Amino acid sequence: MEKNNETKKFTVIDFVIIAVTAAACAAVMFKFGIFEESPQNTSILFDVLITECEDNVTETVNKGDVVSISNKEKDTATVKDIRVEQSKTMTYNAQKGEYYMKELAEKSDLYITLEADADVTDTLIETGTTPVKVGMSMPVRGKGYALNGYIVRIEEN
Amino acid sequence: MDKNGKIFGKVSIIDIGFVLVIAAVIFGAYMRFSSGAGKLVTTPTKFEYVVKVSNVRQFTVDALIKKGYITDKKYEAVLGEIVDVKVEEAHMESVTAEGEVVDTALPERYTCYVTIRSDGKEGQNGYFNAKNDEISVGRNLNIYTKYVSTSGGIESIRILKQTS
Repeated sequence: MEKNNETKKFTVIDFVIIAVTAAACAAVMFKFGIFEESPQNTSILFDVLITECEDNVTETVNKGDVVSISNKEKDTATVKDIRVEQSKTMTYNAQKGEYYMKELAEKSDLYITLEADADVTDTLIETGTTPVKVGMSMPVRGKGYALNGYIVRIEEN
Repeated sequence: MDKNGKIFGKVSIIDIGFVLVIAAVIFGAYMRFSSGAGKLVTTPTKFEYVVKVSNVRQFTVDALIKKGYITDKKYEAVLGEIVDVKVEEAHMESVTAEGEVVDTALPERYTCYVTIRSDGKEGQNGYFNAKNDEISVGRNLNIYTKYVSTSGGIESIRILKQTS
C-alpha cells in the first residue's frame, strides 16, 4: 500500500470560508439585536380613544377586561378605566367665518385606559411586539367587542 | 484541471465557485443598499431642520413636547433629536358666505414647529440623514419618537457645521 505523503494544510480558501462564515454569524446577531442594550421592562398605562361610538358600544367594555391590542392577537392589556365624553365635530359657520365644535347627538367618545407590561428604551415603548406611540392606531378586542382607536396618552410607571 | 478537480493541482474548482458566489453576494448587497444620490461626493454635516406638524390635537402636542430621539420606520436607527417645539393655534383660510377669505382659528387644533438636530451628509444634490433619506424643504417627513408617531412638512434647513 502506498503511503499517502500528502499532509493536510490550511489553505487561503479555508481562511476565506471561515472569515465569511464568522461575518455572516455576526451579521445575524446584529440583525436580531443581540448586541443592543437590553430594554427596561416595566408596566405602562395608555389611553386609546375610540370616537363616535353608540351607546351599545360604550356599555360593552368593562373594567378588568383582558383585551387583545394587536392584529395577530398576541399582545394583551387590561382595561383599568373607562371614560365617556360627548362626541364633537368641527363645523364651519359661513356667516361668521368661524369654526366651532358642535356636539353630536347620540354619539360618544370612549377613552379606554389600558395597562400592559412593556419594554422601554430611549426610542421605543413596546408591549410584546406592539409599539405604543401617541397617534398610532390600535385595535381593542375583548369578549364580544372589536374596536379600533388611536393612542392618545402614555404614562410610564 | 487534474482528475481530482483541482486547477494546476492546487485550487479546487468548488472553492473557486464558492468565492465567486460570495463575491457576487457582497457586490449585490452593496448595489442594493447604497443610495444613488449619496454616491456623489458628500461631506458629513450636522444640521437642523424644522418640520411643521399641522392641525393636531393636544395629545400629539403633549407627546411632541417630551422631545427625544427621532427614529426610522422600524424604530431602529436614530436619525436625529428633537431640540425644540413651538406650538401655535392652528389656522385655516376659509371663504365666508359673502365670498370673503378669512383666516380662521381651528378650535382644539394646533400647529407645532418641531426643530430636529441631525448628523447627516451634505452632497451636491442636497442634504441626507443617516439613512440617506433626502432632507429638503417641502418634503413630507414621518416623525417617530419614543412617545409619538406623526408627520409634517419640512419648512427650513440650517447647517450647523461640517463634521469632517
